[in-house]
Amino acid sequence: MTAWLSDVAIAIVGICLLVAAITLCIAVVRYSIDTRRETIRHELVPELFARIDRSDPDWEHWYESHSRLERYVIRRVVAQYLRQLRGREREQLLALATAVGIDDRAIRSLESRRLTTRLRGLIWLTLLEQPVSVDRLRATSLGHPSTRAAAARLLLVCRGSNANEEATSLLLWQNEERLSVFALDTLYRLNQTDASALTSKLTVDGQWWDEELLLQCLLVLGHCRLERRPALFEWLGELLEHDSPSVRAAALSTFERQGWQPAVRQYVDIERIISDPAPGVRITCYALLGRWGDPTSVEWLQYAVVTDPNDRCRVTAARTLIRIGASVPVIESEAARAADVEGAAESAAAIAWANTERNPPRRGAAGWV
Amino acid sequence: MGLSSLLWPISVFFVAYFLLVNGSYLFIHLVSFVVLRWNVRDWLFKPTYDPYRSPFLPGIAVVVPAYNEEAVIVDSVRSLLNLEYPQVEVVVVNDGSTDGTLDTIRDGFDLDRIDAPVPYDLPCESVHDIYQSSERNLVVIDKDNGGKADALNAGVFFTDQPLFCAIDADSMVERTALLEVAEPFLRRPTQTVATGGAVRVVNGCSTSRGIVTDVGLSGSRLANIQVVEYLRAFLSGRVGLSGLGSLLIISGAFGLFRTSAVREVGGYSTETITEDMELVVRLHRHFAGTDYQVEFVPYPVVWTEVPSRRNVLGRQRMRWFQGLLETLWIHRSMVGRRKYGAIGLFALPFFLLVEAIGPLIEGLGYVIVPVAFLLGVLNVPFFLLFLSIAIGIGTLLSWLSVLNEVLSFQRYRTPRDIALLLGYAMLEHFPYRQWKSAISWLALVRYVRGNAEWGEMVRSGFD
Repeated sequence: MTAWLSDVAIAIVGICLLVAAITLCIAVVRYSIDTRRETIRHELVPELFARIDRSDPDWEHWYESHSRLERYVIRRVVAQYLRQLRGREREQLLALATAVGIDDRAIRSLESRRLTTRLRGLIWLTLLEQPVSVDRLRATSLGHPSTRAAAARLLLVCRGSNANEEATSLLLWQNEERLSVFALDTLYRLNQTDASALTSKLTVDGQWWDEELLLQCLLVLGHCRLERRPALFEWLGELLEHDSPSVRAAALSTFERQGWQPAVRQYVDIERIISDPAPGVRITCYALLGRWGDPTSVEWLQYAVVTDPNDRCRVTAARTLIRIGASVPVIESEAARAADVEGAAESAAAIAWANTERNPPRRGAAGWV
Repeated sequence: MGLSSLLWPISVFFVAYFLLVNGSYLFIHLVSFVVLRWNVRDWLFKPTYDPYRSPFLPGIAVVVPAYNEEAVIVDSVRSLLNLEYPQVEVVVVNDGSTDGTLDTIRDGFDLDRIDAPVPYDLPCESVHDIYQSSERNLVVIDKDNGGKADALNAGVFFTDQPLFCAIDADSMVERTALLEVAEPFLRRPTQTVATGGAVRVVNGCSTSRGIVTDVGLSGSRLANIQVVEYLRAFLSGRVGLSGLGSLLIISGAFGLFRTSAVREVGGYSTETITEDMELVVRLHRHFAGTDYQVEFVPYPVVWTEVPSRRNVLGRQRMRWFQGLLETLWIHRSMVGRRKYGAIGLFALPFFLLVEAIGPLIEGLGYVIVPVAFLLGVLNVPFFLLFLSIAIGIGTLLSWLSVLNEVLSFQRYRTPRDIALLLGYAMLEHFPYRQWKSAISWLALVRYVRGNAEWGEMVRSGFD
């Protein structure tokens, strides 16, 4: 037993020493490389920008004249500034990337079996705005959600024909798969001004999707310009009866931005929504009415201030009325209490609070309950 | 039956328990390695988009309970108002401070009193006044003293924001931390009920205007040992437990919650002394059987000052251990129940058998071994080997956490700091562990007696 334990002890000491050695080696190597990179960066950035201003920067020769580590730093600097610069300076950086073969290497890396290498390649191509055929992207990126999202981003920045449809299709490849924050942002940028690619998929397949994915798409849709298609609004109107209050609220918030079209308003049954059991849905409804701002909406808001059973909803309705400059119902709380009018004192308190607030809280993104 | 015949089952028990404890820790550490590698992949996307510009980010109320924080409150709030997040409302709850906290913040931000009663029920001690800034998203609730949980409840039930972030007034939140800790809410909008970020030790770091400018180790050995503990707890423990769907603690210093979910479970409990852990366990209990998620996100960081004096640290650890026992006792019916999934079958048994009973059994060992030696029944070679294995595995776990730091976040960058951290991981074994074990026993005694004082945290302040 003791002999066996001593073997175990020796093994553990060995593993500990190995872990310590690896930790220290990595720390030393990373620190020394990082320190050298920082020094190189400080020297190279002014040199790079001085060269950008030249008519013939001779990038290839300049790049080749540096060491391996210096070239790495140059690539990092290019990646950083490609995102920040526009105009001639950006064009010069693109010329540098082409001259030194960054784009070729990025395209070749799409064939790599390693996910991280493929991702790096896609991200470089996105920064360089280098188009790649949809077939090739499908062949190399379909296997993983992160590569699909990166491929969709590449299609977004390159803006080829059918880019919106193809990229949206890549993002929504799996009905069960929720979107990462990056994918969500890409979906929004793709559909921001013309959401037909997203709405087509939603109206055809949306009912089969995972509820979280549906909700994510509705959150995106709430910030997009929608086409005037009755079938779309009918479909969104049906979602107002969905089992999930989050989906109902998100669907409602998609109507908020489209309410300037009077024809759209017919798809929202305010009377039913104002009696929705979920306070979050009603709060979204009051925001929608405030946005619409027509006399009927104002009347609904005034009605909500005195009838909504929830304190927070009443305050939201009162705040909305004050924000849009509409008149707030006048309730004499003492008189109402004396007359035993149900909820009158609470409504009076909500109005008093909304009237007195200096800086009513701004809502974050719509659709959150 | 002789003493030596008793010793065999006792030895078997200790060895079996030792295997259980260290096996669990090693398993969690290995999971953390895998999860951290996945997280690092997400960083690749950072150059191609700006999450700050996302229009979907839900509003966040940062709730700051403040009791006698006159010295730090204005800087702290100013730093919170400058966080990189599109929609932040800072709600400071003055919890009956006896110093000039209220006047300082009122003057510092030119606040106006709202001349109307709050139209909601706030389940907390009596609220005197609400103050609001007309220019910044800042609200101050002035109320009677009721403790941290009571103050948090005032903020949670006051705000209209869909998410709230609980933060200590004397902590430093990194500027992008809210963006990062909110990401799981965007990835799973209905499922995510709470997320937590990492807490790191500010002692020894250089700071300027609420921002840590240079990360380093302190001159205090006790503080540096805690740096290793925090690395182990956050980079390995919580990352691993979160990966296993078994996260039970979101630090009170930095956690983001769905406001409606916390209201649904009744807010923070004012009856417990570690309200942060109890709340998370209660959320698990409430949402069991539904599709929900509590997640730890390792890259957003809040910096906090740890005690550098033993008596202060002792009080803090006693409180933490009492809180652990209290929470486990309150939710004892969840332990081992399939209904609660990984929480009932793994997390709670782990916390009970390893985190709660572990230090007590370790303390028992410190008594039994010398007694056995004096009685001449201790197998000295066996004991020495067992001890060296125990120290070896303890060291290995700490060193793996330091390796995690080196491979992922690299906040401690210099090889000197890394070497020192490896050294402090060794120093932890004597006499720190023995002292902590004694503290655990004392906490057990206090818990059994029903003594639950908070204990004062003496802070020396940031540089």
